Amino acid sequence: MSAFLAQNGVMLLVFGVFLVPAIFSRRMERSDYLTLVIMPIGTFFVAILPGVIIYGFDKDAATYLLGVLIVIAVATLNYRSQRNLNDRDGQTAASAAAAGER
Amino acid sequence: MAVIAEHSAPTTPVPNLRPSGGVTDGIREWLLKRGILWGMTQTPLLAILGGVFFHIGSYRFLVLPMLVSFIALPVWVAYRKKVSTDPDEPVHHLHKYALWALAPAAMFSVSRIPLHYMIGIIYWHPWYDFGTALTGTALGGQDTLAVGGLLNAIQGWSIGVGFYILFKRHSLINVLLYVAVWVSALYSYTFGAYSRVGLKSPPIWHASMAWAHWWMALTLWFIPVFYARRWARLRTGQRATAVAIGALILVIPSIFAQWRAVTWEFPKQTAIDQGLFNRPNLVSLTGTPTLRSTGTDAQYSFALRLGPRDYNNWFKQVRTLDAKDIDVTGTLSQNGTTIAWCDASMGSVPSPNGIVRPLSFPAALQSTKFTDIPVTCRGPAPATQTLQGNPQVTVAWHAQMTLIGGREQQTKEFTGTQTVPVSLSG
Repeated sequence: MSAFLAQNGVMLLVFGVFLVPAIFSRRMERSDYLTLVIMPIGTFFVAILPGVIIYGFDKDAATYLLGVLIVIAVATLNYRSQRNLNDRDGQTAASAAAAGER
Repeated sequence: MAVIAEHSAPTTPVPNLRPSGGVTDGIREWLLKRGILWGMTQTPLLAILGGVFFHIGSYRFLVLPMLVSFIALPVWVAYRKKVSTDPDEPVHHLHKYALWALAPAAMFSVSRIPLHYMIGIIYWHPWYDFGTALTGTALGGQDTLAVGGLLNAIQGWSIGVGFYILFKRHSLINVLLYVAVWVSALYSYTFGAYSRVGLKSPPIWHASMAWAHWWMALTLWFIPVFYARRWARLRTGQRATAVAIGALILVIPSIFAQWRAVTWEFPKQTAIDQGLFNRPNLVSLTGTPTLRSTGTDAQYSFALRLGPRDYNNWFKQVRTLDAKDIDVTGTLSQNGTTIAWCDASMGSVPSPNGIVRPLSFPAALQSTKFTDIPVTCRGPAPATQTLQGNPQVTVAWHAQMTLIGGREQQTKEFTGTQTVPVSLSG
C-alpha cells in the first residue's frame, strides 16, 4: 500500500473514531457552524496552498483536505439536523399557543 | 439520545440559528465581539508559525506583535466591556477562558507520555526549536527545553482560548471538529512541510498528533462542564484539590521532559556521539595524489575523505557529523626519501544541519555524506623526474579536527600511510 493511502486511510479512521463522543453533545449555533466552515477553507488558502504550489500536493496536504472535508461534512449534517429540530420545536410551540388562544 | 452537559456562554436557552441582520452587519458584529479578541489571543501561534515553521521572519521579531497584542488586550477588553450590551460576549468571560485553557494545553503533552513508552513518541523535541528560536541558546540544553516548554504551553493555551472565544457553544462536537480534526489536520501538514527536517512522518506519528489534540479537545470541553455543574457545590478542600490537580497537569509535561532529557535523552545522544567519533575509517585517503605543476617547486594534491557523516540522533532525526578546526600535515615519499611536504587547514565542513526546509534536506544530506578535505603538497621539482619511471609514492598523513556530534564535541587525531601511484596527468 502506498504511503499516501496508508496515512490518509489511518487518519480517516482516527478522525472518525475521535468524533464518536460528539454524539453526546451536539449543540451548534449558526456562528459556530460558519466558523467551522470558513476557518479551514480560509486557512487552506493562507497556510496550505502556498506550500502545495512550492512543494507539490503530497500525502500531508491530502490529510489536511481530508480533515477539512470531515469538518465541513459533519458540521453541515449536524447543523442541518439541529435546525430541523428547532424548526419542528418552533412549529409545535406555535400550534400549542394557537390551540390555547382558541 | 441523552445529551451530556452543554456548557456555553449564552444565557438564552434557545439558540438563535438565524441571522438577525445583513451580512455586513453580521460580520461587523462578529469582528467586534469575537474576531478581534480571537486575533489578539492567537498572536503566540502566529509568531511560532511565522518564525519557526514558515520562516517569514525571525521568531524574536514576530514576538513583538504578540507583546503589543497582549498589552493592547486589556484596553480592548475594557472598551468592549464598557460598550457591550450582550452578556454572552466573550470579553465578559475572558478571565474564565484564560484559566480553563491552561490544563487542556498541558493535556496535549500529558496524553503523549504513555505513547512515549509504547511507540517511542517524543513530544518535547520540537521544544528545543521553539526555545532556541527565542533565546538563541544551544539545542539540547535544559534551559532551551524549559523556554521551549513554556512557549509550547502558550501556543496550546492560545488554541484553547481561541476555541472558547470563537464558539458560542462549547459542545463536544464543536471542540472535536475544531481541535481534534481541523487543528490536527493543520499540524499534519505544517509539521510535515515546514518543520520535520530529516524525520520520517509515518501514519502512527500523524495519529499520535491527533490523539494529543483529541485529549486536548476533551479537556477543553470538560473544564467548563465541571465548572458549571460541580464547582459551586465543592467545599474549600475539594476546590483546592481540583486546583492542585489542574496545576499538576500543567507542570507534568515540563517536569517529565526535563527528567527524561537528563536520564535518557542526554546519555543516549552522548552514546550516539561517541559511536560516531569512533567510526572506523572516518578519515581516509581518497583517490591518488596528483602532480599539479612543476616549476621551482613541484606541487601535488590529494584529498582526505571524511565520512560517512550521516547518523540518526536520539529522536531518529537524520543529522550529519560536523567537524571544525581541521589541520592536516603529511609527506609524500618515494623509496624512503621525502619528495613533498603537505598541509591543509579548513575552518569547518559544509553541513546540512542548519537547513530548515524538510524537502531541501535529502539532497543536501546526500552531497555531504562524504566530505573531501583538499591537501596540497610541495617539494623539490627534480624529484618528479623519478616519478616518470616509478610513480609509486607513500602518502603519510596526520589530521587533527574537532568532531561535532549532536551533543558532544571531541578533538581527534587520525593518521594513515598508504602507497599509491601518483597521477601525472594533473
